[in-house]
Amino acid sequence: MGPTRVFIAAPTPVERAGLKAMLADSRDLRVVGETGAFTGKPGPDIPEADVLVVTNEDVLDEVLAALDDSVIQAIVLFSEESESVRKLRESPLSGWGIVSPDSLPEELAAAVVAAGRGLVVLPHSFAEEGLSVLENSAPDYLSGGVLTPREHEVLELISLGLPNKTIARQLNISEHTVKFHISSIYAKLGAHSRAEAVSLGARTGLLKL
Amino acid sequence: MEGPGNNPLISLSEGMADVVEKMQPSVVRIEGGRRWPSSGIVYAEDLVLAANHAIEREEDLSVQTDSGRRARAEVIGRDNARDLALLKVESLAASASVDISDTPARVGSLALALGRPSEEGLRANFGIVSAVGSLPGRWRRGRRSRSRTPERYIQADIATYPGLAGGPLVSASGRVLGVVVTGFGRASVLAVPSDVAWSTAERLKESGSTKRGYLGIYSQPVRLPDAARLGFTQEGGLLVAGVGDDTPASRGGLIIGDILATVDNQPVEDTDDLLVILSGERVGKTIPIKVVRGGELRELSVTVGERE
Repeated sequence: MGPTRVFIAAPTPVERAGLKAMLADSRDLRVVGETGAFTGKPGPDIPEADVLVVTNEDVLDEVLAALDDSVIQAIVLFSEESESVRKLRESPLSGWGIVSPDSLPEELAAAVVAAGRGLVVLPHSFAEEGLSVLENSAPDYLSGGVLTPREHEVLELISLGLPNKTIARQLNISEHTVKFHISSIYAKLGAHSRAEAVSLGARTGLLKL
Repeated sequence: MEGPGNNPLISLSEGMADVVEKMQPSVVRIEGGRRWPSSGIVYAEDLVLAANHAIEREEDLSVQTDSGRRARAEVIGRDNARDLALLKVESLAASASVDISDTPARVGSLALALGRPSEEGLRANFGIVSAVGSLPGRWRRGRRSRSRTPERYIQADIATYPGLAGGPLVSASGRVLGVVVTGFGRASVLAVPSDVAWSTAERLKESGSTKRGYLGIYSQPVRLPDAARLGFTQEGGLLVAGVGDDTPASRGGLIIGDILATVDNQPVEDTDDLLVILSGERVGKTIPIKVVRGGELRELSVTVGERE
């Protein structure tokens, strides 16, 4: 098995350059490409790559929404949000990892190689919290933490009657991702329509009126 | 044989048939979801007004016009409170748009409800305008809400059928009195008055969103304590679970723990009631809010803001 092939998805050229520099010294991996945005459209956005390195949650959402149509098997995400653990765990990836934004180049490289091999990688500080998230199943309405910040934003915009296209434009994400968030919102609230989602959201303290 | 001049029934009948014929190009059929198709009214070039609840998808809707032509459509915006939605339809002719009535509907006047429930053509039902005014809010968990809607509705005693929602309620002179949004029981319909529907459509066309009133509170339904002692007939109220900083609620003096009993003199027992009351029409209005605080009744004054 040759060096792990890495594809970088980060919104700014600076971040992409930084990541490439971090990974340059490792002989176990090779950066094969980069992109600033995930369109979510089917088709080879990505050349043959083993691991996708992603630097923020929005891009992660776009990638997960497009997972069926792409060749991605493993993702490493820079994040501090424990919600990401749930998202990655519930995805059909073969391996994945979360690294803290403060990671050293060696840590990132190790995480990428491990994820590429089908392992799950978490930083130490995350491990305790991450593991308990892995154990929890049902969302707890009363905790107020049912929806992710992004899902919250989408629900607010739905309550204004906005269609998906406008929501996508306002939040600067793809329409595909908006639909992904909406079905997650429906599932979490037990809603079957936009109006029902707004009604249930308001009643369970998720929407300020 | 008697001519129309002698028999008023003939002129009545011909008159109604003429009205329906004139309206044909302006009423469309919408296939928008898993359930029945619904009807829609041509609002302007490429724009159709529909009943919001009947449109379950955002896009890949199919609109069938009078000529039998099918066109693709998508939702531009929704007004949940009024149950209206605006659709953008590929190449719809503007000449099919309608005249709306310039006077409010009068109780007792004749009305026709038009719809396009099937591919067979326009369907017309006949009755009179039975009431105009605000109405009790929606059914909620099996109990009728006690608050009344802030909007005016037209109620007409016209038989309903699946697919009627979204069609026009038309006067004897052929002008649109309102947009039928729902049946009310089996023997009457509710329509949003055309002036309200048209200004909603214009707003949806411009911004895709509806104007929503805003207080700035998180709330949840609770039993209203001491309801009888404090003079309320309702059983429930809304507990304020959070007040945002620098919001209409905080400026009006609402605090966590307050239990809202009435807002603008409308009882609130559930967040749905508040959603109905906080419609666009109340934005900017200063309204009284009665709360139960520490077992006592307090009346506060809040200026409704706008949700952005």
